[in-house]
Amino acid sequence: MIATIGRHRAGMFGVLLMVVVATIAVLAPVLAPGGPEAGVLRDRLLPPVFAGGSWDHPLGTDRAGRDLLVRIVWGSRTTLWIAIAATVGGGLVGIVAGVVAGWYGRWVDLILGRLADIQQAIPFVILAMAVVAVVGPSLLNLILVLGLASWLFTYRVVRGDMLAARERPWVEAARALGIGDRRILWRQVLPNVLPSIVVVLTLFVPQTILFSAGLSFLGLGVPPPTPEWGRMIADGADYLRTEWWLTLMPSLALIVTVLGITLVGDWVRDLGDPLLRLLRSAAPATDEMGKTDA
Amino acid sequence: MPRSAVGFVLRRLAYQGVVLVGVAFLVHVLILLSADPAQALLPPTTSPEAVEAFRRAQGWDQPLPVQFATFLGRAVQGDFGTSIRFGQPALAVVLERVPATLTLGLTGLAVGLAIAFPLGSLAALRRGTWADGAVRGFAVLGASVPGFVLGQVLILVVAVGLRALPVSGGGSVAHLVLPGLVVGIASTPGLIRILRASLLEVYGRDYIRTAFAKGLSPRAVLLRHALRNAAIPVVSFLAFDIAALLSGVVIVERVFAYPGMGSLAVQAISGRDLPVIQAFVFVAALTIVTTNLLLDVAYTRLDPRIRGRR
Repeated sequence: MIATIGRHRAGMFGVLLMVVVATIAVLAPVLAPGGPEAGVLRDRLLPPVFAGGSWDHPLGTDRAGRDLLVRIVWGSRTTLWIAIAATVGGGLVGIVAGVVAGWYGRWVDLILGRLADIQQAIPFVILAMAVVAVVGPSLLNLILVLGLASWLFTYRVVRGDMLAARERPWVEAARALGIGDRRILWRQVLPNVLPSIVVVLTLFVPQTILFSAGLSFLGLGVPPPTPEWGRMIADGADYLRTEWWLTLMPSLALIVTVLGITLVGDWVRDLGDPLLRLLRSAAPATDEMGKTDA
Repeated sequence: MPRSAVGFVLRRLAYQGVVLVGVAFLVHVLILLSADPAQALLPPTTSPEAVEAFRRAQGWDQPLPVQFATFLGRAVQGDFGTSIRFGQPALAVVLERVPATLTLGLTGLAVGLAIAFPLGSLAALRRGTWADGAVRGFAVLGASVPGFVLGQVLILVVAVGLRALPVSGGGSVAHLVLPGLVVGIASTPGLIRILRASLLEVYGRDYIRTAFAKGLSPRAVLLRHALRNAAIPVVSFLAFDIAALLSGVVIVERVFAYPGMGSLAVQAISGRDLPVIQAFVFVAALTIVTTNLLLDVAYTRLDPRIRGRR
């Protein structure tokens, strides 16, 4: 009981963090109308307010004289846009692949399954490095590469759900009534599994953000001058011993964002389970989501 | 090992071999994504004849199936071509860095397990208390702090405060402390979650009640019965987690300028040294496949149902 209340409070805190970050991302053009790429070279590496700087640049400036706070504010747009595009894009591919493999099975399942196994044998960051090495770093390429991670994850979950659904008594009953395969899929099965897929995808968003920042940190993400937190952290590393805020401030932004979404994801999963059970009430036996391998 | 277990491991071995061939194929096809590797690799002043000769020497004028067959034949013999930067066989260049990366990865894994087992057990045994809450809070926070951020913070603390440890480079045990810590801490949140959930499930089982009923101390029940059974899902999770661990190692190497194959690959990318990148991906996949096989063997030892299956 104590744990439930604790989780509830943590979830609300996560919602608060997410709302703050999303608001900042949406309002970036209002909050920092000058844009993230404007800088005065004469004002390079100015200290933040707490280290003796002025309120003109509350968090100081980077090595190109660009305001750090402004870049962090605009960076939220880059981060959220990449995370949403990669998760939704890869997720859609994964859902279609998972449905086809799990519901129709046979050779499609065989081929997709082998492909997934081969991809899974390569650690994601290493696969992404190889792809970017060949196609070059760009915003679009980063989103496509991150989509590789979310398609695999979604595919595995959806395929498992489909295999389980195929064996359900009410699907068998629908078959016995002479209802077509495609109609059963669209009317009975998909409405039952889609809510859980959405929850699972939400849980994957923080992972996508961390991957994206990691690749940008390696210099394989968004090319400069677009503001991106991972890249800013890497750039700040050169000045770590003196201007440590150049690294720490974008790091905090990254941590707060990931933490917020993680807390909300956990909460939704806890809250969502009874909700999912209700939505699936047609099904006599509901598999635990956790059982599907990820 | 009984014969059934040998059969199980052999079947897995055969399948992992198929996966490796697939990886070799993928690595080869990847090159075709770039517009024209010959153009990209050679200086712009190269004459068209020289470009053509280079292309022929690399085999890029052949049809795709022929190229792949040649590539696969060479890959089996450990030949991924010559590194453009080092002028040595690409595989040798990568293999030279493998021990450093492997040492870091295993150190990280050991640190991760050493943190996760006590904390996960504590959270499960003191479920619902402040200790459980603290451990879970640590897990959530740990999952939100990327390794490269934690690494920078440690460098800052050590560089400003302690000055006792080297913050970059490799080659000694002292060089392993900070990167090993970062890789280890990064892998704890997942391990703690799985272990806690798994222990809670095991503690509801009849054989635990039996163990308590026959008078065993809580400590003996945990060590002799509960942890052993709760470890099976942890092993499954490790199979999935090893890839994440290796991804983390690559990034952490960059943070600490640690001379492993991750640092090598980052250099290879900026120098467009494609043979080295191909060999790097293949060696990484080989590591994962080998680990999976070792974990399969671990299953047969942990789970009597697999050991005794006929």
